[in-house]
Amino acid sequence: MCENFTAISDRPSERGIRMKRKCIFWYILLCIMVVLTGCEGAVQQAQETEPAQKEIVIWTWDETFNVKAAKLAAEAYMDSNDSVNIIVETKEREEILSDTKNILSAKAYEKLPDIIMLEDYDVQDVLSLYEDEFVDLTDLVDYGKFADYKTSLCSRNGHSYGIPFDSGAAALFYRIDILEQAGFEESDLQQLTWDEFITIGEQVYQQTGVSMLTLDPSDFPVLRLIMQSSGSWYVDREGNKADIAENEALRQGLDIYKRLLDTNAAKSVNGWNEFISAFQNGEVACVPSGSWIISNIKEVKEQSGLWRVAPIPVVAGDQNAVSASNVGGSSWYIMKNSSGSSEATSFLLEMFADNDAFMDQLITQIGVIPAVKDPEVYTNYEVGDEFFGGQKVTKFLTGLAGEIPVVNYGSKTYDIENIVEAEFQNVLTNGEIDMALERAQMKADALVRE
Amino acid sequence: MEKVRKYLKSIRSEHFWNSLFGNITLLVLMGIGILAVIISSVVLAMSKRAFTETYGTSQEKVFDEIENKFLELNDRLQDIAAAIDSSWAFRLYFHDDGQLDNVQNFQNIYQMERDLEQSKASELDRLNILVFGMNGKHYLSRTETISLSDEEIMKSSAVQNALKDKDSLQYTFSRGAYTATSKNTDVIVASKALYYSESKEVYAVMLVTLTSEDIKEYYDFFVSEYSSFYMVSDDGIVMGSSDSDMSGKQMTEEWYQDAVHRTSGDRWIAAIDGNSHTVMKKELPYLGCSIYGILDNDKALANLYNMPLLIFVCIVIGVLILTACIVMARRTLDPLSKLVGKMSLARDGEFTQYMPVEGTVEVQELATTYNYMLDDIRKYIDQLLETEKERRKSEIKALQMQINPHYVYNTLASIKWLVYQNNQEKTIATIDAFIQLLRNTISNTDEFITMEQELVNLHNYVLINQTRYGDAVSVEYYVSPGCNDCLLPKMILQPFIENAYFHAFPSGMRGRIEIFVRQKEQDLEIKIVDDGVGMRQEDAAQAVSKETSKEHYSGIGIHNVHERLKLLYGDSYGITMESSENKGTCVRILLPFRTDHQKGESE
Repeated sequence: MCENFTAISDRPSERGIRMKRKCIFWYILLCIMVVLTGCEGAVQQAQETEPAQKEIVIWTWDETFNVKAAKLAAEAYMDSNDSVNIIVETKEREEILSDTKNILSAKAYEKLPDIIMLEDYDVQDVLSLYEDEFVDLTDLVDYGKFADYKTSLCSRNGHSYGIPFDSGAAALFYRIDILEQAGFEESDLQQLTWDEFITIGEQVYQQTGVSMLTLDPSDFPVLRLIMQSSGSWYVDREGNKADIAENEALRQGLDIYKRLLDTNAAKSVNGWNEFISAFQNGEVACVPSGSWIISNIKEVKEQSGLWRVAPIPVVAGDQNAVSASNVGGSSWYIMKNSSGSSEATSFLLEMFADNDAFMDQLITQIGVIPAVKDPEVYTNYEVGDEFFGGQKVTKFLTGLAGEIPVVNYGSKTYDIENIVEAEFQNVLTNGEIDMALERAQMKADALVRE
Repeated sequence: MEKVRKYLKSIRSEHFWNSLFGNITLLVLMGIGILAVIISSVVLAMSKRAFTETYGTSQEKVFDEIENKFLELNDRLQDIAAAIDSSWAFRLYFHDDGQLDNVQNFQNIYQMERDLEQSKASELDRLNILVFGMNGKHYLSRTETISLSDEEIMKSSAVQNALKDKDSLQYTFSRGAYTATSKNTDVIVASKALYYSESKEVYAVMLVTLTSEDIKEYYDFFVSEYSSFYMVSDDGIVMGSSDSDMSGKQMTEEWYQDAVHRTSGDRWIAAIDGNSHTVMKKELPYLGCSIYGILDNDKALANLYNMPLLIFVCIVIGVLILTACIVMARRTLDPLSKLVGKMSLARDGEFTQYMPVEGTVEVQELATTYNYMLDDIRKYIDQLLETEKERRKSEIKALQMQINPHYVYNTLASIKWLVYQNNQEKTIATIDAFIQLLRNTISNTDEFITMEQELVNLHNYVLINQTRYGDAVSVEYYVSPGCNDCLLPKMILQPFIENAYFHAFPSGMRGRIEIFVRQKEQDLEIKIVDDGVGMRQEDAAQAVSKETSKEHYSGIGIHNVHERLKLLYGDSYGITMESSENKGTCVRILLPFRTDHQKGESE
């Protein structure tokens, strides 16, 4: 009986325990549910397995040159590396620049290509904004072998980000057959000043109806060529101040432009298509341009042997002027935050930084002029080119590359050029070059001001 | 662990499924199973319908957005066409009959760029625009080269379409366009003839090349794993599709045959490859095509419901509930099954097995009541036994109080005889003994007397007997020291002496009766041994249990003594009798060793 009473008196506390147990039960149930829903997420995440093949996307321009080089490199690389799939996408230079900037500013890394090609003029613009977005190659690439002007172009704050591709060394490519019609010989086109060039041009036009070169009102490569050969640019040596009003080379350049147009030595063209088709169709006798233009020249097989190459004309009376300059020229850059960044780095290093044999092959296939100090590592370097009447084009152009004056392109080359182009329209109307340059200086100052 | 194994073993037995426990398990398992299946299928069916509807509706909004975007594109292209058409620079360029000098031409080209620049919306910045002049001049907006000859461009269906219908933009699907980069890609060319308004003479055709990648941007936000998109021209050619293999092919699908006859803006369910699909249609007359959005409902739903997880959750919850039920049932039923065990014990007369009070309130109440009942029963039975004992005791007491009158007559007759003999001394001794015997028997009402007193009684009785029958039988006493104070029920030895006198020694036979008293551990052992004729063992046993002689001194016989000892001390005490013929008899009486002092305590 005694036992019963104790048991009964215990009941309230036992009920408490039971309540507690119930709580624990629901608590465990809740935990399990939470874990289960968590598991689901984990399972789904685990299902997203990565594809076996890693894709490397390359953005570049010019089907006959950069794109071709990238495709050849990709082909060769994929032969020995099954795990990567390299896709070369052809885009316009401006498109690559603006798309890359847009993607980086939005940090939409999934849309980012792994490798982009940047023209040397644009490099500082991009690096100043997104230096951290590029793979730092300072310690990965032996920059000692590349030409100094090229290395400095793809570097910022002592770090190098690009793998130099072509030198962009400028030369005067001309049709010997057309010039001969007008009574000129090869020797007449060596060591020219622009004044002499215009004179020749005038005569050629009068005799044959063919202009010497094309000028595009919205792209001034010849002006850039003239400036760099004189060691100046749209901006000063520090790259942070517009140098236009006081820029003698620029003034001379615009004067040359005007005279070329006035004398019909230059033919107006609109856009890239007309620029290319003009010399391909024999509408002009010369192309003063970067060495990369060779691939477009060689597109027209029938003109083999008709072309020659000479140093570019210089500005008369300028003691600093050398007959070597740079037009275009570009380098490869690797995006740090793209999905295939590390694979892209291996690819670029293997094909474009360390692979002399491959570069050697590119010399014959697309006529690339490597931006290197010592071109003698390439066996095709001294081979005569039948297309250019047996001239040793590669040797000639690489020789020029060593003489190119180093200038600071700054970060706003094309933007300032747009201003100059607009002001040049006024020059054509009223002939007031100095006034135009002052206005351009004012506008460019506003643009460059940091 | 052991518990669980035991439990699992119990589940396997047939008995388990008949028990309440088994029923609960079965019920819970079935209940949860049926519940899970029914709820799942009802919810699944309901939500499938709801999902298809809402998903369709929401995707339709997205789909409508495609139409808006294409409409916008069309507007933009119209704007560009208008800008080119209204640009004097373009007109001059395409109507150049040599009136411009080189410088003017240069300026004119610059102006063309500006004019076009202004008309282009920023998202169409890199648009591939080719203005193909009838005078053989071109304008190409991009940094690339034209890879077709003028004749080929002139013959292309895009240009022909534009020339056919001069007033509107024409969209033509083409494998490969005019420029180097678009040479080998599927494109849609938007073409518009530019003409002099009075003479209707076409001076140029604007050709805008949209690659499938460009077009993709206009519908890509709609396309997912579950939805696909088709842009089909009025003559059934796929102009653009999320399925890139379809591009440029003739549409032959079954659903399309049905879709062609539907009106713009329709949304309906169609079975494609046996699966349920929602199909949406929009006609874009200005593009000369219709767009179709297809949603794979089954695929979208499949991902919505993770069946294995659903089943897993059901099982886990089922196991949890079952465990909880089993624990609860155990707590309720364990006391009940204990009760069942205790009850079967009670049936066998064990009334001391109480129930522990535990489990649910009901079971606790039951246990308490049962315990009360058990208590009552036991008390009642104890009382009954006590009453019976008391009755027996008083019966025996009554017996021992009475003295056989025959004995009195005979004794008195013997004394009378002694008086005749004038044996005064012996007479007095006998009368004294008789008096003392009577006093101790009748007057002394104590039930227990000391061994000493009992022996005095025996002396007196033997003395009287010797007076009556002579000295042929001698009686000797051997009492261990310390046994004199020992208590024992009155008159328990006398019947054995009497029995020995009258049965062991018939017709004046001589003999001896010895009485041994000693302490044996906690007990008192008394032996009465005679060397008389003895009897068979069966008779001896009978003598203990049956009343025999009428010549008793008192109402108490041997069998009364045995019964009385048992009543007083319990079954382990009593009398044993051993006898064999012609050898004698030995009676052994066993009772607890108690002294006066102890007696007081026990009472």
